[in-house]
Amino acid sequence: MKNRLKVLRAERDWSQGDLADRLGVSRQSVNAIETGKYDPSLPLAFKIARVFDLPIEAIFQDEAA
Amino acid sequence: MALSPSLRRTLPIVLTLVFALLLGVSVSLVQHPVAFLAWAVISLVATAAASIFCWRALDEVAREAHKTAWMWGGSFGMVVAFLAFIAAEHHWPHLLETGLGGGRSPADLVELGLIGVVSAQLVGYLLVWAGWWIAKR
Repeated sequence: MKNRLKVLRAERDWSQGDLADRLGVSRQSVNAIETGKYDPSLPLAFKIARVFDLPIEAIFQDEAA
Repeated sequence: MALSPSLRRTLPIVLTLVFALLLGVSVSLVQHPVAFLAWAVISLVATAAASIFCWRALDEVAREAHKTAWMWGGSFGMVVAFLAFIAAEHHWPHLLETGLGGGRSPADLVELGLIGVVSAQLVGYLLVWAGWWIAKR
């Protein structure tokens, strides 16, 4: 699954650590999600959407679709 | 004093490990059989409770790493240990009788088997856990 986390972070001038603190996860976890190596659960995906104030589909795109 | 988010995640893990180690050492120091059993049960329950506390402090990615590590590393380590003991029993029995456990009694051999299997599981777990995080970097 592709995502726009890196772009969205850059727009807000947030580091991975900043986003991790806002999500309540580790920086390593944010890195794994951002690089597409780990797909977050629905609850975490919704939390990410809330943090960026965007709908989930504006952040994550299904590569198979 | 406010703890940083990373410290809030790490502290329960460190405290749980120290707690479990202290309980493990204290259990081995109790001599009376009934007191030993009672303290062992208390230690087990306390360690389980601390582990739940520790688990809840982890985020979902860290939990996934642990689950994957136990599934693949723990299972594979167990199979490797079984095969090693079976091979030793059939082809190199002197290793079991003299070399590894230091004793020949059935109790010594059972202890050797338990420690051997759990150790192999832990090694497998640690290897897969480390590999999982390296792969996700």
